[in-house]
Amino acid sequence: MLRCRGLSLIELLVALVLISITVLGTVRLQVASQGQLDYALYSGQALELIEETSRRIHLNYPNHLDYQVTNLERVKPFKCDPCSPADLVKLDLTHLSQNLFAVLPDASASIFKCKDQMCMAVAWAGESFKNCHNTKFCIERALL
Amino acid sequence: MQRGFSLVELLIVLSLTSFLAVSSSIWFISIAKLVRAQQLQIESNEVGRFITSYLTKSFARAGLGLIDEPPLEFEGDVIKVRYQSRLSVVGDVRNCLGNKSKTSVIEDHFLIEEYGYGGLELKCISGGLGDWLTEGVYDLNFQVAVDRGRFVDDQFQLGAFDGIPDGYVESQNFVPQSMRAVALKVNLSTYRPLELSTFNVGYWDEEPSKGSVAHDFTTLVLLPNG
Repeated sequence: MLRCRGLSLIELLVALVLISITVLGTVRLQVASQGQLDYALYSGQALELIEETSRRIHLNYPNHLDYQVTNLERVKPFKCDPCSPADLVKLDLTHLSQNLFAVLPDASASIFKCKDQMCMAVAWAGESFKNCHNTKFCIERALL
Repeated sequence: MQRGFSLVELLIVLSLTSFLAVSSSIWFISIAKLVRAQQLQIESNEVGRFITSYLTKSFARAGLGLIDEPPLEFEGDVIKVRYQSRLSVVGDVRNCLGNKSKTSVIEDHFLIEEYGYGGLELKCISGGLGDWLTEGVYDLNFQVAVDRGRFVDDQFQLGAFDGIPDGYVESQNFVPQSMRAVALKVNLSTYRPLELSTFNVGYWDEEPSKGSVAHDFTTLVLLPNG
């Protein structure tokens, strides 16, 4: 007599674990892919911001040292017309601050003197520019 | 003796299979949506980068080889960029469509306008011909960094240009006769619709609707010949 036996509990559990691993792996893959996509977008935006800062300083080069700022914070809109070179520094920093917080989430930035030139560090996703060399979400570049 | 499955067993198997089929369908649909959203983000980002890079190259040529004519002019939503069509160093300069010009001065017009599928496109017109550059532009506006004079002992001397901007004006307030444009700030918004309109398949809304992907881009273009 042919006897048919069903699957044992262990076999079922093993199958369930394997299916769960597959599902979780796919979900994690999607999340990682989204993270990489965000990283590509934000690092591009950060580089564009650094380039813009470089161009602004280039335009007002006699006052380039005045662009040093330890922590670029949210500032109130500043207006001047006509703007003296010193006013232009304030205006540029206001524009840069607005751009920074508009295009990058949880951002922070600093413009500082490094060796014989100016440098800028831009961090996002809650990271700090002070920790720029140890995090993926920060870019530091020479400006001039 | 072989016995078939009972009705209860069949029903249990059927309901388990249905449950698995439904849950995996939902799972696949959500992944497909996520992939689509990611694709739109990539496209929107790509459009933004293409336009900013294209306009940066185009605007940097403004005023190249010109003496009397204004390098930049804004008329309504159209920006006009002028430069010499032939330079002794590089030879023929091609216009924004990639064509050689028969005239000595090239005038490229850039504007965004509605195209056949309902969305907005960036268009370039030059030498009587026009072509669209890319679709998916939601907003494009400019601010001009202008040099109108210089500060001497805290006094502003109008007309004494020093190459340092003394302010940013909205493009519609830019007067080429009394201002020198030293840089151009480009503010661009791009978007990709998540789903095309049900009633007009293939048509885009003019503004980003709920669920569509939008990005803002900003860049500063130096105008060495402004």
